[in-house]
Amino acid sequence: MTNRAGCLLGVVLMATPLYAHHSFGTFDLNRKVDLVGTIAGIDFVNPHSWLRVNVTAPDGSVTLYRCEMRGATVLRRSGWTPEMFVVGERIMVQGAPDRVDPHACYVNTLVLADGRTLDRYTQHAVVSTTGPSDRRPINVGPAAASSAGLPRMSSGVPNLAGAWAVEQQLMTDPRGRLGTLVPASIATQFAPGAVPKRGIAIPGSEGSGALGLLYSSYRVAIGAVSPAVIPWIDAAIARTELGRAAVPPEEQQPRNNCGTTSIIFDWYWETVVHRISQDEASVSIEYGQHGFVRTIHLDSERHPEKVAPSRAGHSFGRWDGDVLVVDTVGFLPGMLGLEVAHGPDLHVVERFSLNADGSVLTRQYVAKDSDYFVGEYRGSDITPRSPLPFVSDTCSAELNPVSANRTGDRK
Amino acid sequence: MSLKVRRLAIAAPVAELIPVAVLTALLPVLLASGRGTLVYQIMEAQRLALWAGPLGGFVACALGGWWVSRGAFADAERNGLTLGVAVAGFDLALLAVSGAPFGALMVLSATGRIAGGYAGGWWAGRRNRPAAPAALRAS
Repeated sequence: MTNRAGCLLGVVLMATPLYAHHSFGTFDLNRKVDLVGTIAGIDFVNPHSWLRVNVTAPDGSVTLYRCEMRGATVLRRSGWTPEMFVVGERIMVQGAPDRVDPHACYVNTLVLADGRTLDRYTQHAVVSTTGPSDRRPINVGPAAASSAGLPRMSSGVPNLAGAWAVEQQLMTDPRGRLGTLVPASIATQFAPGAVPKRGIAIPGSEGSGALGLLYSSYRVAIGAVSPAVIPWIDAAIARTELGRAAVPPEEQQPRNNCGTTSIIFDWYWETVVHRISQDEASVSIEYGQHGFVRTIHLDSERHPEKVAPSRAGHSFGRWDGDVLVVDTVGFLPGMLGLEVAHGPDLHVVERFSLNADGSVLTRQYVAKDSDYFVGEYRGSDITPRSPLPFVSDTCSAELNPVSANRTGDRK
Repeated sequence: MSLKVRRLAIAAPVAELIPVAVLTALLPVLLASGRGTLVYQIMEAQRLALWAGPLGGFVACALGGWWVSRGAFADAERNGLTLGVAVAGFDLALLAVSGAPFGALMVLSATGRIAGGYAGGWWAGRRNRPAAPAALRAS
């Protein structure tokens, strides 16, 4: 196969929404770059953070490099803080170069001035200051469950209040060069860079050249790859012609421009920390990105005659035993998921419930909009309480490699 | 029995590569069509593969069996069958190495290839048989 054909296939596979965000963009994982310099600054933002490093050449000239890291909130969830990166301190960066910008890279491993080694997916709790004795990611796990059982309001209904975060996805190679993404709780079960039995390496990862992509396609066809093992899949749903036409190009998708996608999608996509507040009359959900807030009214069982369209829509909820059933209408037309659009007639029903000790929140959802997709858009997510308090980090579309609003110096 | 070893050695990998190429192309073609989600396209590729794999294997082995068996006269079917069995063996090994779950696709693939090889050999054998002398035909 020619390089051109390989590139074409790679583009086709990588252009799919599955990999469009959690992929390697223009970074070439089959090459390596090593930088030694001093920290010039850090943009600790979502959806991707950037470390700025001044590198001094033998002739004394200084060049500024910028190297991409995971988003601010997932870094915080992994125990990283911006304070770890002190301007002026020495740092070593091992990474993958950008195909376009000679002064940009993708961080694989950082060695800080005090000797600490941080792989891209390192969970900071296990980082040793004496060396890389254990560079495998660990499951930091949910916050301690309540010993008092299901938390309840004074009225007796369950109390959903708290900080919640969907489980992180970590690459099986802590450096982020090989393999694929798996839930953090099972990441330690895989050898570095391994791929789950019925999974495939992320296209663009080290070694997944044109032949690797072809082999992946073959494995998909013969059933060796199950759709169910691929993280962040959209619902398998048929769209109408209107629905297909309404999906914007990848770089214009709201998720790539610090915009809210939907009440469903933004809960699980970036695995950020959300906060639920509750009183007898309402439940408020603050999504951990873009300052998105929605209110579920518990004191009414109908929508107003006229609802001002918004991303959040108008929600009312009622308790069905210990399950909160939420009905929402009044949406601004937009995106429901990765590649499923909706119009103003979208109708969403969610069912929220806690497990027995209140440590895990389960949400099931059904959405309908027959103008845009056929049948029901169904799904569910399971969200543990977050040990990290609610945090809403800054989002920068300009620093997102996939954004339409990029104004960086990428050539 | 005369096996056309050289032709078998050429035809077997080629006959296996053709349906593999078809299967490999399914997902990229579906993705390029832009219809449905990736999950839908994966499921669609797997659904189509249930037909495309065995059917492509049958056709490739039939053609391969015919080519191998040309001029083999009495052993035409045997040459075709040998090709089918060899390709089925290749295919099962490739499926196993690639992690395919044991199931209908494996059975259909192997059966299709063996049947295709035999059919190709049979067809070549029919064409190979020398025409009966005119005197015999007249009687």
